[in-house]
Amino acid sequence: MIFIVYVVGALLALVYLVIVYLLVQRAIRYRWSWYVNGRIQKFEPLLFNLLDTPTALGPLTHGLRPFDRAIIERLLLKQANELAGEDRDNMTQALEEAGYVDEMVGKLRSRRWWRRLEAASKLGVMKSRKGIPALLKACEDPVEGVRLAAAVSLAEMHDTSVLGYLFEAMEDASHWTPERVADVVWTFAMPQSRDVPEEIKASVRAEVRSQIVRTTDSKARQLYIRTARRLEDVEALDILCEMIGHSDVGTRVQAASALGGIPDPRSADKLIAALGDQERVVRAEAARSLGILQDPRAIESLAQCLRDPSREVRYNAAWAVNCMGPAGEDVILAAAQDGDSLVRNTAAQILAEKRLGVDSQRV
Amino acid sequence: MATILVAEDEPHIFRMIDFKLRSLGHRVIGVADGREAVKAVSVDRPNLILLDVMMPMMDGFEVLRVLKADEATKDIPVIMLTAKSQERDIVTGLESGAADYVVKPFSFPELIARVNTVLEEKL
Repeated sequence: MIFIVYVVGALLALVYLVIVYLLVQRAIRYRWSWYVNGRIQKFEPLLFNLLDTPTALGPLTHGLRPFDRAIIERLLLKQANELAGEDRDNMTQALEEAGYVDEMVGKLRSRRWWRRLEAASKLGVMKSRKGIPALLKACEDPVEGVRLAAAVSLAEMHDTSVLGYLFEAMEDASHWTPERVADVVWTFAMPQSRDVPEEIKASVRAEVRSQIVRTTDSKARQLYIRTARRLEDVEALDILCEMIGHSDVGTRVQAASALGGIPDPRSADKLIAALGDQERVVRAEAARSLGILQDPRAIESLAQCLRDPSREVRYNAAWAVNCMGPAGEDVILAAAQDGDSLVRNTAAQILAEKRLGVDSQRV
Repeated sequence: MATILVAEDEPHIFRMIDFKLRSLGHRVIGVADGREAVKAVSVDRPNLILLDVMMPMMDGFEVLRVLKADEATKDIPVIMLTAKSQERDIVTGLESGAADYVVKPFSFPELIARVNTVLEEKL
C-alpha cells in the first residue's frame, strides 16, 4: 500500500515537473522572440541603408550585444536573397566588410560536419568570390552533404572550376549520389535562369554532350542524357539519335525520353523506329515521346502499338495517338470498337480520362 | 510626390520597398493581402499600385481584374511583382491590364525606374 502511494506520488511529481518545464520553455521562447524582434527592428533600417552605401556598417559592427552578429547575419542573408543586380552586389560587399564571409570560410575547417555544411550553404548565398578557394576544397570533404552544398554554392556563383569535380562525381557512385550531382549540374545551366551567362550554359551543355559519348559507365551515360533533356539541349539531337540505337537498354530509354523534348523531324523518325524495339520499356517511352512531339506521321505506327503485348506500351501509344488532333481521335474512337478486348479497353481508358480531364503523361 | 499602394505579403520585402519609396518622398500605403488591396484602393485612390502576384485571400491577378472592372479604379496604373519561376504570369498580367512588371528578386534602381516611368506616363 505504501509502495503504491510512493509510485503515485512520484508520477505526480514527474507530471508536475514536465508541466513546469513546458511553461518555462514557452516563457523563454516568448521572451527570446520578443528580444529578437526588437533587435531586428533596430537593425533593419541600418541594413536598408546598405543598399546605397554598403560600407556604412558602423552601427552593425560596433557596440553589439551577444547574439546580435547572428541576427544581423540572418537579416543580411535574407536581404541578399531578395535582391538582384547592383543591390545584390552591395549586400555581398557588406557581408565581406563585416567579416561574415571570413567567418564562414573559417567554419569550413570546423571538425563538426554540420557547421561545415552550414558554412558551405551560406557562402553560396553570400556569393563572395573570396569563398571560392575554400569551397573548392570543400568539394573534397569526407561528408557528401558538405561536398554537394559546396558544389551548389559554386554553381550559384557561376564558378566553372567546380564542373571538373561534378563530372568526375557523376561517375563515382562510391563517394557521391550521382543523381544529386546531376541536379547540381542542372542548377548551373538551367534554361530558365536569368543570372547565368549564356556562354556558361552553352559550355555546360557542350560538356554534357561530350560526356554522353565519352563515358563507358552506363548509369552515368543515362544520367548525362537525362541532364541534357532537363537542360533542353536541342544540339544533342545527333547524339541522341545515335544513343537510341545503343546496346544498353537504359541508354535507349533515356534517349527516347530526351528526343521527346526536341521537336525535329529526325526525332520523330528515330522514335517511330524505336516503336519496334525488342524492349517494352523503350517502346513505351518512344510512344510517350511521340505523343509529346505530336508528329502526325507517327499515327499509323502508334496505332499498331495498340496491339502490343505490353499494357504500358498500349496505354502510352493510345495516349500519344489521342494527342494527334482529329486524325488521332478518329483512330482512338475506331479502336474503342475493335474486336480485340485489349485494344478496346485501352482506347476506352484514354477516352474516359479525356472526359474526366485527366492527363497522366504531362509533367 | 505620389501615393503608392504596395500589396506585398512578405513583410521584409514590403519594409524594404516602403523604406526606399519613402526616401524618395512618396507616400506609401501597405497591405498584405488581395482583399485589403481592393479595399485600400477604393478608399485612398493611389497614383500607382505595386502588386505582388502570390498573395493570400486574393491573388494579384484577381485584384487586377477587380480593379480594371471598376470605372473608378481602372485607370490607376499597376506594376506587377512576380517571382522568377512564374515568368509566364508576366504575359497574363500585361494582358489583364498591368502597366509593367518587375521580376523578383529585383534591384531597386530597376524598380524605381519603372515606378518613375509609369508615374510620368500617368501625368
